Amino acid sequence: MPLAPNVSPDLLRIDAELAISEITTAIASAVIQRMRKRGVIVGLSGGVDSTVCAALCARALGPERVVGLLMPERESSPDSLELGRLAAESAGITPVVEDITAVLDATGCYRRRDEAIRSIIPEYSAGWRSKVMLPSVVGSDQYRIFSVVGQAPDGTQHRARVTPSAYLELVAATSFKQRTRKMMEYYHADRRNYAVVGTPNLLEYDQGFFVKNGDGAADIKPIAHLYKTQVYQIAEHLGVPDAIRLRPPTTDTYSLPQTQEEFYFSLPYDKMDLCLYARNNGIEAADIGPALGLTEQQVERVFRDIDSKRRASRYLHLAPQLVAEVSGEVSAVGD
Amino acid sequence: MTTVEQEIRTFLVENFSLSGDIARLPGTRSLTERGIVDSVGVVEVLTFLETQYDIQINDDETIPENIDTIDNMVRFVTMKRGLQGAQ
Repeated sequence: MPLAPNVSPDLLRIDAELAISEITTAIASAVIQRMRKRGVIVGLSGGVDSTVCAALCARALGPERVVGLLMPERESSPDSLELGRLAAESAGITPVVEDITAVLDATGCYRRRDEAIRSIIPEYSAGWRSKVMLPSVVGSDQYRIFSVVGQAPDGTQHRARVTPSAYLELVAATSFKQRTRKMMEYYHADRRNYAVVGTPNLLEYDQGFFVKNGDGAADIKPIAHLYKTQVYQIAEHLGVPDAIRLRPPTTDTYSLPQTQEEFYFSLPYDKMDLCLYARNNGIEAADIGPALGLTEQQVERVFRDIDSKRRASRYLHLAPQLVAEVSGEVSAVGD
Repeated sequence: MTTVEQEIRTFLVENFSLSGDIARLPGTRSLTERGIVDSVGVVEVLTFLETQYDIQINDDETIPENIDTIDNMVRFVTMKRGLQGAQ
């Protein structure tokens, strides 16, 4: 039986300078030597992950070979644009702004989403705002079923559990946002002969917190092996501005303010990190609980939620399925 | 096999591509842990139960003890219909 280690957030401490050195070496090797690209595009959300990726790429390739793309739309928080500019400035890279509202309007993103919401909240109409929410995982064994919260202009809120068709339509329609951003990133990459950077951390990558062929698409994902806590350590080491480091992680997908915790993860990121670490390293729920202020039963629920999300996200990670093995030059220059 | 159980089995087979004999699907098998029903599937199951049996399932009732196995669903639906019938 493995000995219970001294479980604390210190388990996730890394040597930031060493990690930065390893990542920047890997970025330069992948982009310049393997992909033969002249630089990279990083979509800047104003969050810590994309800011760290931009700063790492600037160190690896030189800031003149990194473009920070800011893609506001009519529902994104004004903070995102402001902090995105700050991220570009702190990394010393060129910011480019592309407002994607017109594209989203043309695809019917907002209209289709609103129709889905109206199917479960009939009062939902012009001037209302919305978000989706999951129940807490630690409070009970209740299944984590999405609810939509609609807020009328007078501030009153209506909540309704999703139906299967509303849920699928909602996901399909809102995913236009992530896919449009990625399309724009590849446009700017192609016209410069650049590669595109994906910015998920380990928590997001492992738990499938991304849209397939949206923010999940990229040529390189420099921090996908790092827990969010470790991304913050690197951010501090790189001198990422406080305004970005102190901002709560947000999805910036729905018109009402929404944290990642409400939308997807069951706990604040630092606690999620420790739970995922424990799950990955065979640490028992009873041993990790005290460090999180949770009971063994509550941690067991988080573990089940981690496993459930891994099952659900298997499809997201799956490469296109080939009927037969493809040999020759194509596979030789692949991974 | 009760009518309710037969209807639930038919629903599962028709909606979650379960192959094989419906009658052999163990009533005690966890549908979520085996990956038969995913998170969207749980919503589909709830909608089916509410519509088919004209019952209202509250958020705090959406727990494995009520809907994670066929036996649990049968027990839960029977209980809910009994409660509603008594009102």
